[in-house]
Amino acid sequence: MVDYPIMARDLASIVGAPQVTSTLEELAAWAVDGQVPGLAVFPRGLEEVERVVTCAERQGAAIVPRGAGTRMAMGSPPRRVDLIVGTKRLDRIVDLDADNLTITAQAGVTLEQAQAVLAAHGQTLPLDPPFPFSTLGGVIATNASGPKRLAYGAPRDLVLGLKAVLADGRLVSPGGKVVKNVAGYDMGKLFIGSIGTLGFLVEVTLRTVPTPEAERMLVASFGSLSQALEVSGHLLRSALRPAAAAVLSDQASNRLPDGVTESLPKTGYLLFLSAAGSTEATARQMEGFRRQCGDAGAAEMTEPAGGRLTAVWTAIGALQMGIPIYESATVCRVGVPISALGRTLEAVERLVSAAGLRLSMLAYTGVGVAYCSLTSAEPVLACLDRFVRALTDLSTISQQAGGRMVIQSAPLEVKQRVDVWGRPGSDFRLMQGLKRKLDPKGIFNPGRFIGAI
Amino acid sequence: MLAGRVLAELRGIVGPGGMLASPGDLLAYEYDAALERAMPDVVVLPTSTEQVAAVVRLANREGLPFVPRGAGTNLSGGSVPIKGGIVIALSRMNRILEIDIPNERAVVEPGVVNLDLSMALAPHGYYYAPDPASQKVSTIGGNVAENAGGPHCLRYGVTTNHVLGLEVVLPDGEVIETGGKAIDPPGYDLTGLFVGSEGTLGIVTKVIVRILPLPEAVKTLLAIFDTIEDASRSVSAIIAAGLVPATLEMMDKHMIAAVEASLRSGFPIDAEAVLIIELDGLRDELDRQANRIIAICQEHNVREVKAAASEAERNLLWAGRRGAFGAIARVSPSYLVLDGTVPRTSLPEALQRAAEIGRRHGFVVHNVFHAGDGNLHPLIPYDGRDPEQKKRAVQAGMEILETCAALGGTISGEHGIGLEKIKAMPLVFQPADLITMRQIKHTFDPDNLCNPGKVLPAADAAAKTNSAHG
Repeated sequence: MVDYPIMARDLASIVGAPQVTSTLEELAAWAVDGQVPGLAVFPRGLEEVERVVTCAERQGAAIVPRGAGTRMAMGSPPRRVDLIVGTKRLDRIVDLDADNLTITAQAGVTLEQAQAVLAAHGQTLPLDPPFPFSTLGGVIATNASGPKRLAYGAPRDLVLGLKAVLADGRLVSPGGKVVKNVAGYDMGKLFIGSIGTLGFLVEVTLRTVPTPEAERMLVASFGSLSQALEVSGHLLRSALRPAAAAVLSDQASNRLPDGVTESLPKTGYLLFLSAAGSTEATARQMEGFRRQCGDAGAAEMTEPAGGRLTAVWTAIGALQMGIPIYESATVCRVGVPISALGRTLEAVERLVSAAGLRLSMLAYTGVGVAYCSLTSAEPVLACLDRFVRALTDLSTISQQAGGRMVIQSAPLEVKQRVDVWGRPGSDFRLMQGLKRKLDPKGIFNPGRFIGAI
Repeated sequence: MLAGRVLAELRGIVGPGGMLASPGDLLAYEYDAALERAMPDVVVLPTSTEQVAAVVRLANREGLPFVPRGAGTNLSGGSVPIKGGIVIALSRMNRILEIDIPNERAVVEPGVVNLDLSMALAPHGYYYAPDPASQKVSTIGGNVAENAGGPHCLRYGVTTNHVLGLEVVLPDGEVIETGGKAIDPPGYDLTGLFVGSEGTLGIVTKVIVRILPLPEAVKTLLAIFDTIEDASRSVSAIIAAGLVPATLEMMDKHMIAAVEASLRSGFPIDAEAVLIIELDGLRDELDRQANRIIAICQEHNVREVKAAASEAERNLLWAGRRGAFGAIARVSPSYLVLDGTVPRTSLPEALQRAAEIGRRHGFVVHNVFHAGDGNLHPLIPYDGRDPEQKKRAVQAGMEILETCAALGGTISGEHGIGLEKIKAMPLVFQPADLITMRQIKHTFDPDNLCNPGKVLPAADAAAKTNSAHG
């Protein structure tokens, strides 16, 4: 049992009393799956992080790292939540090396902060997690990606180096700031997407890209999911390959904000195709997109104005977590081989409808990922069994297709019945081994990752 | 010498044609493309995952080290069996198991030659992007072990960006799978950890890779410079201008002379440096991109920019570039090649300092490298028959790596640490990093049988080096 008053005093001696929160009202807002933390602390700089982690480790206190909190719904219910360690004061851009296309920033810097600084140099971070106010640390800890994944990859492809504090207070600094680096084991990969279970991310170095000269979008509506997917698949395998491709079900597009929907076709499955690059290439891509969609029987096509594109993609990305975020929708991420997406999603539509639940779907067709949001007319508890059955079937279908389903957010009652990560594979023994070696007391986010690691 | 019963048992696993144990046969496996040599006790050439696993289990039972080996093109001594034992040569596991165009994936055995994969994909309009200069011989398994790069990695990323799943025989003989055809499998990114682990964490027996559609059009430029500074400043300026060509390769006059003497690729022997700049994409956009690049080169006093007029001319340029290391054989019996990386803006300084270091030790440093990535390949020709020369070459190499580290770069961009750069590891890693890497190694290979003596300095060596550095 952690003695919170003693730990609060120790933490205050490290970061100063105002940066330690111990009042229940404030802490309640940071509950994870209903568990209210004992304390919260906001260190500034590497040294304070090291001391905070060491302090928690000594007391055996469970640390839950937290950025902007946009992805706190992820993960299995925690075994314990003693100490929230927030990154809001790790807010410094350490190095912007525009000529080398790299940026180094502390974990609490938000994506929009980084983008604003980079924009002045004609560059951008090709990361688009659901929310622009997500922190870089959070994006990397969750390997969050969005529509741009197709053209630019995920955080795992963009991180050049990072600094993380391990449970015993030791600092590891895998990678660096050069784009090619094979010195030693690629330890950075372990921290990316590990949702804070191996160490605390303090600083990251990312590759940036030149902002494309032109960016355009075609939105086409189709009567069926398979039509939309067929067009997108055809374009992906052509020279006109889009930079991003997404399909929204009717129900999903209905959830987009009015300011966005006014520039979109009104009904059907909407296919969003993006062209990014030179003026010449994007012009030819758009022409090809129109022709393909037209030939495939698109009911309606629109091209949102250039200035609206970010807003459109942001609104679409928000569907990855269910909008608004406080809605208690169960959102699951289905990741399957690209060509299996169509039949998988058709099966999902059938089984969710059979369960009497409502479904809205967002699919990134070029990468084989779909976000399925399940809701019910009645309270979740009244139809819990149906949720559980639908999710279990969804997981089975995804696995049969050669992929996986991972629950992104769900009411606690659902999480208690369905493993959000699914069953671990043959490599799980190594994951456990790594966790035991690097965090022997299990102080980092205990219980929240795969296999309740 | 291994006991007869061990040899008999190994022969039983891989079949009579799958084992080499005579001294003459073993000689072919005592070296790779780096400097060190060491004889294995036996070489096995398994044809299946089951055979690899059985060999590894036997090695465990007998306490024998084992070393995976692809085509032996390793440039850091990673495939040399420094502690003897069993070399597991994967060259017979060379089947392309699946080409899956709708999913943009290929599944291959580790012994598939890199270029063979792209050639098999070409009729489908696809290719495998990482293209190490050794691609005609090096294997995908070896590429995975080293996280190999190549000219086109500037735009398309290195091996780790293209590997989505693996089947691995762990050091205790258990077979596991990581990742798959779908992206983002839940759990720690073990695929990412295995890539670049230089065969020290297990033996990869199957690889799932991403494949990409061939570009519609390609344009290859040869920019000829009268000073190496102008060439390297052009590289920085092209990157800083936000242009990302598919390749941005540099060759200096020493390398040009060696290449032209052996391959006659059409590089001007009176130039101080050339850049091979390749653009790809839609045909509509390449001319304007090329013009922007030419303008930047002109701002940096380029003598001439030529465009390859035909596919044959383009192939000739690339044959020269890819054949550069081989061409050195005309200049010198041996060479040491480093592959440190620096931030691209530090290229001019890094090249100058490498040349100085070479001069100080009595060598002419030759350069042919991935300039766009800041990934140097300073090549030091020397006579390996003279131990004193070899010592000086190694010393010069170490100083060049120190320079790369001091300029904010790293000691290896793509060739790996292997045996050769172990001593340089403390230049870029703190003791805490090395301890953590050793913990990872121990998690996978507690008995230290899987390619022992590579990548990581021994615990006490690290402590010593560290105290020596204060």
